[in-house]
Amino acid sequence: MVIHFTASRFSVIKNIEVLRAIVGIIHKRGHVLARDWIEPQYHVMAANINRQMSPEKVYDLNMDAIERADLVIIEGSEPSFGAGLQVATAISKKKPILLIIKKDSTHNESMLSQGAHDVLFTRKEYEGLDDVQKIVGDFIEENTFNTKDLRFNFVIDRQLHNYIRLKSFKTKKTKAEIVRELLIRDMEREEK
Amino acid sequence: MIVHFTARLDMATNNIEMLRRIVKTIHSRGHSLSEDWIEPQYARAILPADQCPMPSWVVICRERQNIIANSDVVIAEVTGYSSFGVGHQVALAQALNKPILLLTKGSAPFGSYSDGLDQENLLRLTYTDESLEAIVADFIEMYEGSEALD
Repeated sequence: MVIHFTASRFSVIKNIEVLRAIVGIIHKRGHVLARDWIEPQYHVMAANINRQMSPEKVYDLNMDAIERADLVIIEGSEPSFGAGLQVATAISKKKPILLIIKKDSTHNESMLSQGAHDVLFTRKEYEGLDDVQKIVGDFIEENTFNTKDLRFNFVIDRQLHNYIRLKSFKTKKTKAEIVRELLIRDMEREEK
Repeated sequence: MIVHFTARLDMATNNIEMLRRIVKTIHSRGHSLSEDWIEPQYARAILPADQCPMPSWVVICRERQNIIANSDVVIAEVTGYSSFGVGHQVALAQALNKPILLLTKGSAPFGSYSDGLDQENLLRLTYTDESLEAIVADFIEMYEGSEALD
């Protein structure tokens, strides 16, 4: 599975051990990060290297990461506009989201994130690394599915079958390819 | 900068420390990997298969073009007779005109296909345990600041 894990840039310095623990849990289960940004960001900030990506590129990379991800995990102990934007984007893309916050940081938390509710949105508080391991591990387990292409039975009437069969004959594409293309076209139309 | 780093899959088991050293060099300069595959692959090698299933090769192959296209440079570990997958990705990177570093430790008895690759922005270097980080860092430094800015 591809997991987009994000946090405030300031969390990278203040909470690096927690972030590394979360990355470790993701990796130990054989899943990949959608975006590899934490260690580079840590080194840039810790060493005060004057090398930052343009905000536009950061935005594009994060939106692309959410698009590709199966799950989204956000460490939200530090207030962050970017984290909020990514939660909202992930919800709109129907991705399961876990927002975890350190118990003694909840006074910093916005009312909006405390009140956010969606069937795909989970908010949890943690005290220490053991809590983090359990919360993140449970979330991943509850949302794990095989990343191979999925199959399901598709029942259609004769009219639809004839349409797909004719289109398949004319275009030399398989019926499955035609149906996939129709779905993708519909998805793109909805996104516009 | 985004660095696409590839190596034989079994290196994530048999030579994980070397791969980690390369990744650490990339990260320490503030750059990201195009793809986070090494630690998950290492986990798959040491855990039971049902706990850590391998992603679909169809999906992996399908994504290669985009992943490499979105990278700024490519580093490939090509010691010995390497792998089809690494070769395929180097070829994709060449077609996309990406700067490429081919790393070899020692040389294969009869030479290897990668010895014959000749391209302006392709560098083929032999490393030792002592020189690995410096070689990777020098390559990255050559292209720092030249990544496409939006």
